[in-house]
Amino acid sequence: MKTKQLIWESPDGWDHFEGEDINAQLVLFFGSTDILAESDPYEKLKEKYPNATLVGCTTAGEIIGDEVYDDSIVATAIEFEKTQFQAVSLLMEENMESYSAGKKLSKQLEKEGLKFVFIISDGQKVNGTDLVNGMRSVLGDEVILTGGLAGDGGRFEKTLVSCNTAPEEDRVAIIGFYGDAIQVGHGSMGGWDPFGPSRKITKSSSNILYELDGKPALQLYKEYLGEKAEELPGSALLFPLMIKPEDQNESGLVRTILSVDEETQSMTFAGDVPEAYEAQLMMANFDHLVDGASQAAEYARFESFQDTDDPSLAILISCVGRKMVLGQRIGDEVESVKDIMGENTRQIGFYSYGEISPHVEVGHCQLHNQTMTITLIKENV
Amino acid sequence: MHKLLERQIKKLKRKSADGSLPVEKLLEVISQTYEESDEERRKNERSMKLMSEEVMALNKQIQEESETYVSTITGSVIDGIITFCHKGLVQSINESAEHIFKITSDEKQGSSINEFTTDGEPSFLEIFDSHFDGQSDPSPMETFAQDQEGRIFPIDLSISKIETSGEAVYIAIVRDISTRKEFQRALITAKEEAERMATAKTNFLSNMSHEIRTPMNAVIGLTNILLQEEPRQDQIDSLKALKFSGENLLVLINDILDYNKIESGKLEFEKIDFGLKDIVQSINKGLGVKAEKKKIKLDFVLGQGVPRVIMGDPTRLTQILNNLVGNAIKFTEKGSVTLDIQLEEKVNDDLWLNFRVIDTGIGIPEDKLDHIFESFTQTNSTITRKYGGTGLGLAITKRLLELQGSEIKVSSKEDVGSTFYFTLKVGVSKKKVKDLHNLAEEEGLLRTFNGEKILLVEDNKVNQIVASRFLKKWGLSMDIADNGKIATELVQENEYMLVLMDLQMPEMDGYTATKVIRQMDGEKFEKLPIIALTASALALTRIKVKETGMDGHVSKPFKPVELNHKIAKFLHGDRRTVE
Repeated sequence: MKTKQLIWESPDGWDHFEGEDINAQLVLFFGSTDILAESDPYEKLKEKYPNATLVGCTTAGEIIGDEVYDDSIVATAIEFEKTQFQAVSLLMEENMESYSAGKKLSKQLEKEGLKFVFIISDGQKVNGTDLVNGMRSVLGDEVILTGGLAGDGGRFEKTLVSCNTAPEEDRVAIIGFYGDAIQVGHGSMGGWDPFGPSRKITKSSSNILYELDGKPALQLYKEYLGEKAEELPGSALLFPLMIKPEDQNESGLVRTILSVDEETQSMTFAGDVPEAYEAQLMMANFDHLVDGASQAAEYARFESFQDTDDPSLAILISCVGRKMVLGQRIGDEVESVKDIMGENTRQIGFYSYGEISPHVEVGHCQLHNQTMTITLIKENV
Repeated sequence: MHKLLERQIKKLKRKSADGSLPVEKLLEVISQTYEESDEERRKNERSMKLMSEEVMALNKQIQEESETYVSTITGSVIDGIITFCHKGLVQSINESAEHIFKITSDEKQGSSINEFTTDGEPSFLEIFDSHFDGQSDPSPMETFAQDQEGRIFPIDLSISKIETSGEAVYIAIVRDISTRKEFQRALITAKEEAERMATAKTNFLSNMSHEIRTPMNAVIGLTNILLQEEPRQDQIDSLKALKFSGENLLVLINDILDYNKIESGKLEFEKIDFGLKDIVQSINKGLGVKAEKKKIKLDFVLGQGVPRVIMGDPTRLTQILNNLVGNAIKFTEKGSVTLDIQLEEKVNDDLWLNFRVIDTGIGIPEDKLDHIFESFTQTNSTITRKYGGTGLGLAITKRLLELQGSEIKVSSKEDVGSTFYFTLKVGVSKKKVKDLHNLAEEEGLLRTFNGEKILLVEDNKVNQIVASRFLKKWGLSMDIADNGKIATELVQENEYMLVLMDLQMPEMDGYTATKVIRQMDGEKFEKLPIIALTASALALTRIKVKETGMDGHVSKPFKPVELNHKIAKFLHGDRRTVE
């Protein structure tokens, strides 16, 4: 497997970032909404790799190498030696359920030899939890699912996804990888610290949260945000919500906010917030977040990548919330991942509105929020 | 250099066209970092503050919830619960306690627990120290409390002490037991009343027996004398009928007294050797005539292996069998009455004998079978009119057997007949029939005396006459004292070999007279035999007789043989039969 990395930073177009020229079959690209919305970058990439499948999305920050960029596009072209892949996508129609979208897409994939599916999805309309569950219902838990929801900076207005098409809203794309050659590692960790009292979700509907302990959830967030309340919904990322079934000791899931509705005093999250679950606010400690990223990297390397230095590609999908909290220190987490990955692993990725990966404890695939989620791939030749 | 600054410089250098460091831009980035840092600090401070507030509010809520929980529980119990501190100041008081102590004011907290007890009585705190402190499992104590209206009432009280946050808290649990106490008092009163009634009954019976026996004594005694004094031929039948009726009346009275004795638990059983045949003979002697008159066959069966001599209480056994056979004859118009005695079992020195009294009489209706052993019950009132009797016979029989560990049973069919049966445990005797008969013969002999002088103390003129006739006949000389007082004077003036002392007399009764005599100077007064003549058959009387210092007793109306032997015991008279 060979990779070449490019960056679009100025109106000048695509610049070389790292790697030799290759005959790529697949190109992954991630960029800020403003730049990707223009037709130029996509067309120019298509010109560079006319025979390749192009899959990409908008972000809340781009990752390449050990650095984080804003207002750029990063791309990695991949040339496989043995591995086959199949990319399919669909546009979310009006009133389409995320669960059935996941099912529909998965059904289009050839099942024979399917080992791993990478997901790049719209980040505004899609309920990530439902999408993943729909896919699992078709693919089962043997196939590894990873990926993320597209981002839109801190704006939460529109996200674009491309799959051999110009980037557009409402698109969901998945790529299935086949054969024994491809090796996949994955890790997903948060590093957030729960704080304050444990609350009960007393009113919710799928991914919309109305009340905690019988009081409007939005009011609680506003109190904690103080002056930052004006920057809602983005600023709510400072306080992700940890949820878990009542009286269970497992670490629980972290949910990040997508939008707020003043009228109903509700908040929409990137995943389900079931009633009767316990919920607890979380806050960031810089060191703990960076440690979380390191741990995700350790997990990703854990089996197939232990003690090898084969050329690999690490796809880092980290949460927009982490970027907002870490601010200028965001580079620390990418660097800490790079330190663990080593010289021969190239890194690409983006800050997203939701990460998809098997849960490190539960095992099956879930939507995560506020995590650093790493997908590590290489080919055994 | 700080890692972040290092990265910031590297990034800026990368972006600049010539690779130099744009200072303006660097400062801008650094300033932004400071701002982010400030913002972060403010966010953390705010979160800390809000979180503390929330935790405090939660704390308060939990505390309130637990207080509500506790007060809901204490509010719903019947017992009054009062908590107070080591100074005796009330901390809390539940609804029941408010009700018990009639507390109406809202100022419950801080009032003194002394208000719950009467002045001068120990307070709850003192009661705890003296009664409950250190007890691992103390039971509630009964004491008195006082309510706000001044009413003093009985309570069950238990007090425990707990430590909360290093402070001692006392918990008093109070239950108003006024109602329970009232019930107890009513019960005690009822019991005392019942006991008083029972004593009155005993005394009444004792008095009645005296009152009845005294004239009976005269009637039977004089009849006996008349019969002995060669009456005219035309008078003999009347005298015999008079004697029969008198004796019959005495049996009835004895029944009543026996029953009283049994009911008051004052009955003891003898264990002496006796011949079964003698019992049978005595029953035959007593009831044979009756059977003969009704033309009923009276049969006695002594089964194989039944010992001739056994150990037990012959008097009571005779009484039981007499009663059953007598009843059988009474209720049988034709056919037979059979007393059947069989050996059931013999283990070492114990014998189990089965007694059956079988008749061909009127029988007992099935629905009455269960009731015939109850006191004062006959199957119906017409029976009483037709057959007479007290209705106590079977009840006495039943109780007499029960007291000997046996049970009477009956099987009966109307117009066919009845069988009464029981199994009695008796002892094996080592004596032979011959030994018994010598004894019996000897006992039947009357002794004569040689003019020894005795004192008869008796207030009843008729009794005086009856007794003196017999005594003179046996060769005794006597003085008569009309009451105890005269007796005490006479014993000092004369030398008597023996005193027959009636008990109930005017002026001075027999007990007092005996005490006075025993206290007189001289050994002779101490040793002078005094025999009580008692109309009362009650055991209590016998005990009292013994306690007073009398040497024996003879019940009135006396059987001549018994009186003769008692006197002989002290005077050693000659052995001779007197007709």
